[in-house]
Amino acid sequence: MQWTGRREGGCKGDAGAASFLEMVMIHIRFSFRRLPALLLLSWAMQSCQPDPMEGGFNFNFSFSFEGEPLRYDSVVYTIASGNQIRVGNIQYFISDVALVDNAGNRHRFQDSANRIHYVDSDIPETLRWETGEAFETGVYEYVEFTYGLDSVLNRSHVFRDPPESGMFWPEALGGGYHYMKLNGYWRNAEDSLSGRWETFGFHAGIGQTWQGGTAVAFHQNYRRLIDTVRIFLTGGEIRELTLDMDVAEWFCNPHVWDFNYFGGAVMQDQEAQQAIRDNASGVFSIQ
Amino acid sequence: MRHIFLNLIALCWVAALASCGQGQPEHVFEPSYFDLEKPDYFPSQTNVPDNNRLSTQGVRLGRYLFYDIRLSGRHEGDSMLSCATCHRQEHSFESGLDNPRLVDGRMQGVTGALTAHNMLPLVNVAYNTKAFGWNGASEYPEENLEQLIQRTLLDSTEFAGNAGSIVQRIASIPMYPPLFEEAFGSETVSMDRICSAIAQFVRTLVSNDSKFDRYMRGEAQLTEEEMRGYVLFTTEEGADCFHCHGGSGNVLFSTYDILVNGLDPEEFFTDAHDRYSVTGNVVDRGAYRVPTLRNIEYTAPYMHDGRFSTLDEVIDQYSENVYYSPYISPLMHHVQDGGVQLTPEEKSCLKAFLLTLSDEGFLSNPNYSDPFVQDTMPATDPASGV
Repeated sequence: MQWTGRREGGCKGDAGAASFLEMVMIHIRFSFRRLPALLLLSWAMQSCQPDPMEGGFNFNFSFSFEGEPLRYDSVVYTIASGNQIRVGNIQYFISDVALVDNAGNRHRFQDSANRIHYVDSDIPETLRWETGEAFETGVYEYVEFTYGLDSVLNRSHVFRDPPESGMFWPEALGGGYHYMKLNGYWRNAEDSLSGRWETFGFHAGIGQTWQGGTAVAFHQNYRRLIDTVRIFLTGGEIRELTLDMDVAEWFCNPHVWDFNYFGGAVMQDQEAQQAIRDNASGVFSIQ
Repeated sequence: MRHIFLNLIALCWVAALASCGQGQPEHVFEPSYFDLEKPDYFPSQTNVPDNNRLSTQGVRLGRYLFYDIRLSGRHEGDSMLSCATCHRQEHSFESGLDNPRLVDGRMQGVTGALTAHNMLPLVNVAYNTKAFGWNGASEYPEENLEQLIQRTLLDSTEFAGNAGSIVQRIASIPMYPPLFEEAFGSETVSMDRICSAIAQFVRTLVSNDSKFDRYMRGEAQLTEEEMRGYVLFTTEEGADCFHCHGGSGNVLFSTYDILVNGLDPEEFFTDAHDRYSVTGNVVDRGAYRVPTLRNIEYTAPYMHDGRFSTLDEVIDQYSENVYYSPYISPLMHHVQDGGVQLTPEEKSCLKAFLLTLSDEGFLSNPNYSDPFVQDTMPATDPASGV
């Protein structure tokens, strides 16, 4: 039936036989049939247009050491304690990102897929985050985010697939996921002639209180951080932000980190976890 | 009158279309596609490519090819080889110590030449989205199982074949063209199709019913010894295995990363087929892929060169015999002590846990067995067995 009108209306041979009234009716019927499709098309085209009152933010992630781009594996850095380190790779989560406007209102990412972002120095795709989030135009003063995962988000088995699943934090140590893995090598400066290094896993996550060999309490060590941005977001603008991690800062402020004291494996050392948490305050900057 | 005219035209069209098909057999290519069934704690990502989805017919063909020694053809010394000659089901599709082709931890290919490395088991390969082979020469997604299988068939130390003769040989075996038609829509035999079918079968080799799986599903409880072993496995101050070999959060029991694991001191890094041979990066000297620990009980010999025959030797290695080298994985946290220094009791517990990764049902699953010996393919859909 749907095609009858089209054949009648479109067939040149029949046009002369049809009365004028018949032609008009056919035209009206034809147009009304297409009306929903035209409306849909119009809506779709409109939805493709950027809202003049909205913009957005994408994030890029970088790593540095005392302000210089971080170099991996062979470059030797000296941290505040005088230990020398080489960095192998870094993985971490940021979560619950929000932008705070000049009235103090928090604008959180709305898409649940944007609650957590995984960053891996070995996986370039993770170093760019196109959020797709829409924000009202105006002035934004701060970016807020959680380094790691808070106690609500940090649940075991949330990630089934690599690479995120490789961040799991064992149940015996509190479960959930590493907030960060910073892997590398360290040595004392006076050992530099020997050419020998020790390994370290500067791994952050849930800490424990131990009694004998038993964990009797778990401690959340994530950190909510704020970085100043002062951005005027204009309509249709997608602002590119870069979140930089200055690795040197993990080891200096307020706690001077000495690998001789903490060693290279700290997942079961709440004192070390607390120091990492405290030191997180100066590590990240938005550019 | 106009309606009659139009109806007449339509009738003519139907008649014309019908006459086109006269005298030709009905060809309906309708493979029965399926997805791997898996527990909800398994990864959702697989390496199944869009252009080689799993189908009952493709897996069926792949299974025959996997077990068919005619794939290698007859070589000098009456040597013939199928995939299953080396990848044996009772050993989680690893060689097994009693394999006549195992020589000093490596396998003899069809010509008698030795492979570069020990084998890796074919278990849960569908979930490997990182790298294949001990040195990761095939890296996903640039290369996938299909390309790895093709390399194997052409490699001089393995099947030592050439594409033309393999295709010709398989095409000449009467049972195969109809199987290719069922799987791919025509009887044409090609290397791509051979490799695709074998890859389909290999991807169905899924182990997810070990005691540890049942523990994960709440269907079984670990003994005190096994649980203690699991805690050792997943703690840095214990055996410190989990960063590379997973646990409840990574049930593949491998990250598939390629690392230096302290097996040898630097001066022993003489293997011309380590990761360095692929990347040319000095940090990769002596680096090899982390193998899965699933069915580890059955996958001896161990390590890339097959140097260890027992799990006890492997545990001793990581406990007391870890060697320093400049680029040893930073995840090896106890290098300065020569290893994690487990007590005999701790070693026993760790081994007890490792044995919970054995999946006897996988080793005897009729869907994975030799179809020529079994004579008939199992009636069940391959998907139901995985």
